[in-house]
Amino acid sequence: MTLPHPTPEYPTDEGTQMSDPVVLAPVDQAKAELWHRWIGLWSGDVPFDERFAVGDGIIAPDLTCHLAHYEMPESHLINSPGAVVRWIDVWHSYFSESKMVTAVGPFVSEHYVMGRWSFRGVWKGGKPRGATAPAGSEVAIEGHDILRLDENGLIAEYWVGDNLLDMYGQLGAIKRLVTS
Amino acid sequence: MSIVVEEAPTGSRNTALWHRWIDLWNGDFAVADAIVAPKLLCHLPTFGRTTEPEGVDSPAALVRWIEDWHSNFLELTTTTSLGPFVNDGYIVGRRRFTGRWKGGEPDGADAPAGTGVDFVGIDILRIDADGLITEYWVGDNLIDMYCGLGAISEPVRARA
Repeated sequence: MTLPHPTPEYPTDEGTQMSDPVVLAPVDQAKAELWHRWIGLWSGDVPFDERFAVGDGIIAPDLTCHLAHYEMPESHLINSPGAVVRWIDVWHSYFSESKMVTAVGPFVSEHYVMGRWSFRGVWKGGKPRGATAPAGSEVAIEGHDILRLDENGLIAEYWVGDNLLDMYGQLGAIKRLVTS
Repeated sequence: MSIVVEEAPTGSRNTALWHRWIDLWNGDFAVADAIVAPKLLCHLPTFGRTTEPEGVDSPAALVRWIEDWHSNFLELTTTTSLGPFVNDGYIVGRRRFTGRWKGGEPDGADAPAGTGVDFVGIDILRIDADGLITEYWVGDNLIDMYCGLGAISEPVRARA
């Protein structure tokens, strides 16, 4: 999965200046590292035969998810590291190339880590089912994840807010009023 | 790069700012000049929320945009569902929109007027040295609204 990733059009390092620079404590560094492993899993950067081990290393055995109600798995089914990895496998099956990077953040607090990601992919089929764009079309979406960590530093709860609708628009799966 | 935030500290300026931001989304437009910087940079989705995405660059433009959004709904309510997470420079929070769709956008929807809308999104706000919102990133489960209103071709329907 080697799609070259363009520079995000929004400022990150240069544009999101902190009014007070923060020196991270080691525990916060660990949370930031966990975020980057999470994004790497979604990106497809993890070697294929290591993805379940990576999932086990960052996700709690008993996971709670808060996903969109449509076009995503039912939240209660994504309840373990293995379920997350298999869901990511399905997501990757729609793309011949894909890449996800951190766009803003990560932000870390006592119990949470969160941030904005940017996904780029070359779509090859599957969802959205009603797409009119051809295979090979490029897709670009952004989204925000909030992750709650348990006492072992593993992801125990996951909230998503993402611009998945943009992918549907880019692939011609949004209905339009026909006026002519 | 990583940024340390606190979990909704009481008494924090930016916790209060978040709640005024939610008030703004609930139609308290008079608050805009007090919480939004004169120069605002927005990172909005391409589809579903905008009529003039490049134009949301000031408190007045933001108010026009939110008014336009409200015009599609009855009883539109925004509530905080997680957070806010704050430090001096940023606010992150999850919020929920509920209401009833009146018609209009999305123009290809086949749901009847009055259909309920309920979806969540996560906002990231950057706060300038004057304590004003100067940059806004949206991550929004608009897919739920579009599918719920029948504006997506061949959706995978939500199950109870």
